[in-house]
Amino acid sequence: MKLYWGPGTRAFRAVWMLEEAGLDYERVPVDLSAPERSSELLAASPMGKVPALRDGDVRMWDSAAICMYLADRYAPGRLAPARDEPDRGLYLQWMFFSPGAIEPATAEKEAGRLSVPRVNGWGNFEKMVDTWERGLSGNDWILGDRFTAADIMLGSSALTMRSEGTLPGSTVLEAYADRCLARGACQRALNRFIDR
Amino acid sequence: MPAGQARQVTVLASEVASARRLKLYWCPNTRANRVVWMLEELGLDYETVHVDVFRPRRSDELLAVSPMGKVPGLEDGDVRMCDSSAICLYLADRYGRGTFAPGFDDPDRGRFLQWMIFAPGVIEPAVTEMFGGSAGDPRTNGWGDFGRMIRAWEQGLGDGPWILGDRFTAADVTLGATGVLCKRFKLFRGHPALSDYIARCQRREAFQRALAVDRAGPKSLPARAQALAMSAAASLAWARKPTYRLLDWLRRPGEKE
Ligand SMILES: N[C@@H](CCC(=O)N[C@@H](CS)C(=O)NCC(=O)O)C(=O)O
Ligand SMILES: N[C@@H](CCC(=O)N[C@@H](CS)C(=O)NCC(=O)O)C(=O)O
Repeated sequence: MKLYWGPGTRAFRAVWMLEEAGLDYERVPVDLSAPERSSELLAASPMGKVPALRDGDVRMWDSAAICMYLADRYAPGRLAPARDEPDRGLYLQWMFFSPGAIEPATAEKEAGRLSVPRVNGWGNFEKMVDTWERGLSGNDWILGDRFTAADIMLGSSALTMRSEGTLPGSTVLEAYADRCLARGACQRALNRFIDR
Repeated sequence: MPAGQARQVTVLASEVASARRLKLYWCPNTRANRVVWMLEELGLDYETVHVDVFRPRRSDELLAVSPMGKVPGLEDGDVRMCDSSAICLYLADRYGRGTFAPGFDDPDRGRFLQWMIFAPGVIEPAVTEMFGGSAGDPRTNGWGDFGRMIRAWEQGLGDGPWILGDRFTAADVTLGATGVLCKRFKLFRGHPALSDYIARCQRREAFQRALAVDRAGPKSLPARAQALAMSAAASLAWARKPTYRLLDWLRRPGEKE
């Protein structure tokens, strides 16, 4: 398995996922400051973005898609609820929350753009944060006691927002980010992440 | 659909129908239509619960499945969830495995998931950003920008006919439904492959049935007024900002009375 990776990017999510799943993988560093991308990367990632993954015949990009793929394929019932478990629906709903709600809502707020919460799929920044906090509703993880790939997506969003200063003053989300950081796999991913 | 596929779907569908009934929180002319289309493709039996999202009131029942008070929301036995893409993926995996969703160990699975993320995670934010008139940094934005989005989509489609080639999946439902809106806003000028793709989606029987469900649905006065404003915004670029402001203002009264 090959992971196309760059330091300080969303590729961290895929590394953390691979560490949680205990999988063997090779890291292919991509120089994101270069103007061109290798054809090898472009074959997996049409926009030349990281993370991208190659696993046998599978070539794909996007951190959320990669986490979903790996969880269902290599840690079913553990890092992803099985297809017929009642938790499956909420799990998928939260898998879409980082790319579909957290990221666009944060970008919109940072750019100071007019927000139309009833038309925007993500509502607006305040609604997004409120939904996220209520989703956790006093639990450790987004599905309750159970840690899943959805926490990798949401947790890494929280960690990125914290480091970029966009995480609102939310004790719930701060505590969630800390819980994520306390995981061995997250620590391993962070260490590999900076060592390069 | 090849006969084999149809048979498999029917078998799975009857398994469900006897056990429980799917409940969809829905409103005509919204993203709920994607899920109706998906349900129609799967041949599932479902009940629609009308939510007039053009008015401020939201029931506790809806808020329990959809915390932002948005549609669509789904109830399937103990499963309660929202988000059109997540719902389509859930339904396709659960009731259309091997046909509308590649299985977990199918080599197409990765690309399928990548395209399931594309509508909510790439197309919607890229289009909104373009309409808003301020583009962020395409390198840090997960969606790149409008131009990169269109190129990736067109290239991914290749010769088609569907996003995974010969195989029609739930990813075509979410991409197709989003594409119908892009087409309405004339965003596919100079991209005939994408317009043709959307036309192919629109010709599907299940798509037509979903359209009929929307047309037959109740439409309140505010719903009609806003639909009108939206079509004006679709054809007249200068009408966009005032329309958005109007929609924003109408939304003000709060989610729940
Ligand atoms: N939706 C994608 C976004 C990926 C993305 O935007 N990656 C950035 C780094 S965090 C990138 O590769 N940027 C370089 C570029 O766009 O050229 C995901 O979640 O994986
Ligand atoms: N990401 C969600 C977005 C849903 C959404 O924004 N729905 C709109 C209608 S298309 C809505 O219910 N708006 C009413 C409101 O926000 O109160 C999805 O794809 O289902």
